[in-house]
Amino acid sequence: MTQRIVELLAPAGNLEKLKVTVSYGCDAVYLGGEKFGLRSAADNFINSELAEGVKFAHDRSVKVYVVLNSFLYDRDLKELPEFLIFLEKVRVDAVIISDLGVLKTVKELTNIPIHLSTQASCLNVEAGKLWKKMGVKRLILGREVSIAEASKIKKATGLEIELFIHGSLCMAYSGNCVISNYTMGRDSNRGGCAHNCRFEYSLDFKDKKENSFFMSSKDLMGIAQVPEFFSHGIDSVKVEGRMKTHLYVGTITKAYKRAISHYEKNASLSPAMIAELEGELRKVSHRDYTEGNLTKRADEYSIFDKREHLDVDYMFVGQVVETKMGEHILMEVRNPFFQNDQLELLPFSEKEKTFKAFPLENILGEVVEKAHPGMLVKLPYVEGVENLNLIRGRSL
Amino acid sequence: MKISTYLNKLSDLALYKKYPISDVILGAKELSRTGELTLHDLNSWPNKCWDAGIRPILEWDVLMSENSFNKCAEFLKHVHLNHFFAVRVQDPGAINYILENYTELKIQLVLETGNHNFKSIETWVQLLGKRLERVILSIELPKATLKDYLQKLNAMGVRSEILGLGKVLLFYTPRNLLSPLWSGKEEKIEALATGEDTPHRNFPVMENFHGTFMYNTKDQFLLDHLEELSEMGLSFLRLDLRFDGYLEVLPKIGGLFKHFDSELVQRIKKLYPRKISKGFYKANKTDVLFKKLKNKNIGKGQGLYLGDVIDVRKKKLMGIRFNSTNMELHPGDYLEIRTPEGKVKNIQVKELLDSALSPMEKAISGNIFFMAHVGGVSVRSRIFKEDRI
Repeated sequence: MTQRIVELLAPAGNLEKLKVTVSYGCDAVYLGGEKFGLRSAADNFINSELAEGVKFAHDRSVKVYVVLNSFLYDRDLKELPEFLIFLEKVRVDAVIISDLGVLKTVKELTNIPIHLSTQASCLNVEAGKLWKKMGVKRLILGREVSIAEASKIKKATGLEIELFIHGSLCMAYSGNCVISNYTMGRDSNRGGCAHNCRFEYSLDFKDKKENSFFMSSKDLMGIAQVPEFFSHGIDSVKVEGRMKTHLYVGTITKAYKRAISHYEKNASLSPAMIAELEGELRKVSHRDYTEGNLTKRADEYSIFDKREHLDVDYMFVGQVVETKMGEHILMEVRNPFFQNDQLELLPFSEKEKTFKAFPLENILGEVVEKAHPGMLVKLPYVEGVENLNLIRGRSL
Repeated sequence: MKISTYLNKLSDLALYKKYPISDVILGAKELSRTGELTLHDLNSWPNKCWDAGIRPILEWDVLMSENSFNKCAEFLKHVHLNHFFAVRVQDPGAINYILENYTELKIQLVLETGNHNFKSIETWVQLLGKRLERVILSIELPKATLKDYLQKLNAMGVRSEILGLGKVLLFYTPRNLLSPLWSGKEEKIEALATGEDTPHRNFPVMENFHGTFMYNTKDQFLLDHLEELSEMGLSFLRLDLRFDGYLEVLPKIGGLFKHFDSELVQRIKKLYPRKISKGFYKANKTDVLFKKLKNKNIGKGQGLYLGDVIDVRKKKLMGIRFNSTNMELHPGDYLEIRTPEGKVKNIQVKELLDSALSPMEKAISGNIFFMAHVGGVSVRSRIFKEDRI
């Protein structure tokens, strides 16, 4: 049985990550140029990279959406037209906006489809109707909206609906948090979020005091809800994380692609398969997982209340940059590991393959005991390996 | 310039009437983020406001997912909306609902979040047309920008309002963040939060029916600038008088509106129970730091970016990933290498090697190639091709 297709939309923090996530099976990517997005500290794309990224993606039937979802000042709007004309020329598939001034500018100058950013906190049917009048094609709903509510919005508006399925969650209504602005002098809605919600706070309740990370949310994981995304007609499911690692985008993309493809073919997702995929998702760094608001209102168990990320058993040791069939793999090292360590190759669609890091050589052919970040190493050839494959190892 | 404020006690109307308060905002628990009025209050107070010569405004400023929205819309059916001068909304859903279902009701549009370019504000104004009674602008707009916008809004015949005195909302979530830490059963829970590694202490935090709200440690206070704001053409200054001691402060504020007196402002500051700030009124530099978030030494925007150094064997070889698609590299070409520390090295390529260390005629996009290490060049250095022969 074939179900209607749900688009898997993945983050592309830079050109390399775009190639990784496309190779691992996403249907669309979202990325930011040098300006106008919300990730000031990300690598982002210079124009030539953006053009190359679009070509790479389009050659593989993957769509590219460009974020313009910062709350722009007047002076930014003056710079926007040149970039918009460039985006139309390289044929991006949509722009993601949250600001009405940006929306108007896009409509005045281009025919690029417009997706409304989650930053605009579109949460209900009536809001959807209003944004439809404004000319948006797709609503990226606020993360406070359940799948069932999203379905109602879709039916009432006829617009495409995108929901977040995985990744870090803002605790606040998106676009409605200015803690960084007032405490750090960094505008959170212009890409300067300092993540004050992840801090530990001492709370004084008059007659008692508590220390707590009370504003820190667990991360969203919606793999078990894939069937519901299908049955409610959600058009696109989005993975958060333009700032995250290659291993994150590769692993998450692969796991969700498997779930979505399986459901498309079989109209079911067994508990065993969900458990297996959840196991994969737990191998990347995260802050405990929650279902957020996907099926019911996020409750107290959605609060992380811990510092930073959990220790995970696996780490990203490197990325394959060249293969010589039957000879060796050339890998760019991202985290240290030792000769003889057990490593896992993540093929784009096949099952993971375990192999031993022996022999381990540098580019000069010298045997090394320990591989360090910032070096290329030669590893034994593994059947089925491809360029851009990711390799992980047990944490040291 | 007139004053708008909140009405939480009916008995305050007599005082408000005495001072030049033209509009009062009525917030019910069901529709307003912090409102505590009942349906009965909403239906009985507006006429008393009109009798006092003060215009009642219904506050519907909560943000609502679909289920919450439906509850609000149902509640709204029981409110005598024709008794109100206008309704104050932020959620685009509430805006559309009022536009389509209550066609006589004027709208006060809350644009306090974002809307930091005039094109955005202008588009909202055009959308609402004659239904728009006023726009409530962001207090993150600095004076110069505010002045410019007020001129333009006045030219369009649109009234304006900003917060002149009161708590500054920093954070709004529908999740209940305090109750997991509190054993009481109160509908409203309050605490003061002090974050680690920050000089800011005691952020007021409040959880209620709609979620959790955090406010700045200092309240917005623009009473020093009354004359200036009036000259700039601001229509309404909103004063949030929901603090202990407001009965003593209000007459002094009333005096200020009649005749500005900077000494009186100082006396008000002393009476005001919380710390105060002008916020971003003088200047907003919250994007100045952005440039420092990135290492500008390894920017890719300037020059013919070719790729990155990904391996260094000191005094021997360095490995480069060729990223650019629109160029080739041959022995004899010139390169500029920019290190993360800011050093710049200009070199001529003598030899290109592949991963087997065999000579290559040229390198192209996607290649990993090697060349002689250049002293001082480290991993993450950027490679640019020089446009010379």
